[in-house]
Amino acid sequence: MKIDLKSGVPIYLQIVEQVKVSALFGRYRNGDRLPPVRELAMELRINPNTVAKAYQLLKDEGIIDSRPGGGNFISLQQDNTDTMREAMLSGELKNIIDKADALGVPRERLTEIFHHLLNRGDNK
Amino acid sequence: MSENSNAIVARGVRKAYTRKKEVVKGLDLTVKRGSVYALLGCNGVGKTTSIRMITGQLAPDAGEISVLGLDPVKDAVKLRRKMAYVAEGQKLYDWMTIDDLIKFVKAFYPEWDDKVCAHLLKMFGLPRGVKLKDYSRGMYTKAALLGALCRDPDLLILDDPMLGLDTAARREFMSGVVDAIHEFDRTVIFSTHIIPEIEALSDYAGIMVDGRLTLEAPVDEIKASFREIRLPADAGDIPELPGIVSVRNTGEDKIVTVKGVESEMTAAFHQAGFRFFTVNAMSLEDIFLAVTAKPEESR
Repeated sequence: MKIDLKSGVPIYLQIVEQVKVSALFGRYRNGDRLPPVRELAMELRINPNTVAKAYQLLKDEGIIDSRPGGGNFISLQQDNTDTMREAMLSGELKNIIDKADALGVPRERLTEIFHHLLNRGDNK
Repeated sequence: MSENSNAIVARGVRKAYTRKKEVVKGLDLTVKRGSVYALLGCNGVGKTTSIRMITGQLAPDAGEISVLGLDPVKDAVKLRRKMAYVAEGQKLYDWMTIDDLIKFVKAFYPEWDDKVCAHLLKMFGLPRGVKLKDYSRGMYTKAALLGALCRDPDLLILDDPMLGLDTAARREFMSGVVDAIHEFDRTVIFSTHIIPEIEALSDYAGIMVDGRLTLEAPVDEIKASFREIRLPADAGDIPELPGIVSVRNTGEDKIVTVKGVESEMTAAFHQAGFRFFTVNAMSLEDIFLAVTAKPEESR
């Protein structure tokens, strides 16, 4: 995992995102164990409470499971991954919309560009 | 102010060394129990003086300070057992070896933790049979941190401890600090101007300018409220918009630091007639530099 201090995203959310992406792209499989809080904190030299906060959020979202013996494990359900995929894409599209607004590109024009690109993909 | 949830509370604290030169000019500072707090400021703004008043080494001229619910001056003896302090250039007992030092310090502190001690000795790789005076600066500072952490303090105060350490020693020192944060109830206050190393460790930051705090908030909140707007160098004069913290020219770009809601700031710049600009998030160090920029540099 990597932390970007220049990013506007709080560190705990950066960890949450990276775990999600790894899980969605198959780098993490169900049952894989996440590094212990202390270990990851030492590796990234970040506050252990930040790692704990990220793991708690992942647990609340049903992406990891903590077992009584200790340890946090990936535990993804199918409907969960579908929602996550869509949330991830929505997030990126929202960034594009914000950027278009900042550049002063009207929404209708943005829709046109989007359709154009989608169609180009079909024609290949 | 609840004494239970705050480790340190300072209100209206002032300190002058001579009648003309006041160093701390009305410090209001709050450090929550169990948090990591970065006290940031350029050299000479009063960080060390503030820390010395918090540790009871100096008495304030005015104002109130409460540390772990105690008065740092009146309750100095009681406080010394709950608090550990590592400062830049701190002197240990140079003629001792690390084992002598451990034996010596341990005698004063019943809370001394042998397990933590063994763990840190291994982690820091401190040579055993050598006198402290023959340690490198990095080793020496790590020895001081070891002495502080093994006492299992409720409050750990680090006054610019990494000054003069090379990168490798700084990293090892930071690992020791990360290790120490694990205890839920332990509060850590860090005074420094080397920000990248401590940004990801800190829950709160206070930025000190000329004897008082100009900003004190959770780090995530600070980072969410500042943005850098980059315009072409020939973009024209920046009008007096609310939220502008500083303006500087790099030659290629004009960089405006703003504080506020990103969408509102973007809209304000559009309204002022600027068409081409990018809005970027900032690191804590960038924010620090913008907030502490002298007025003549910033326009």
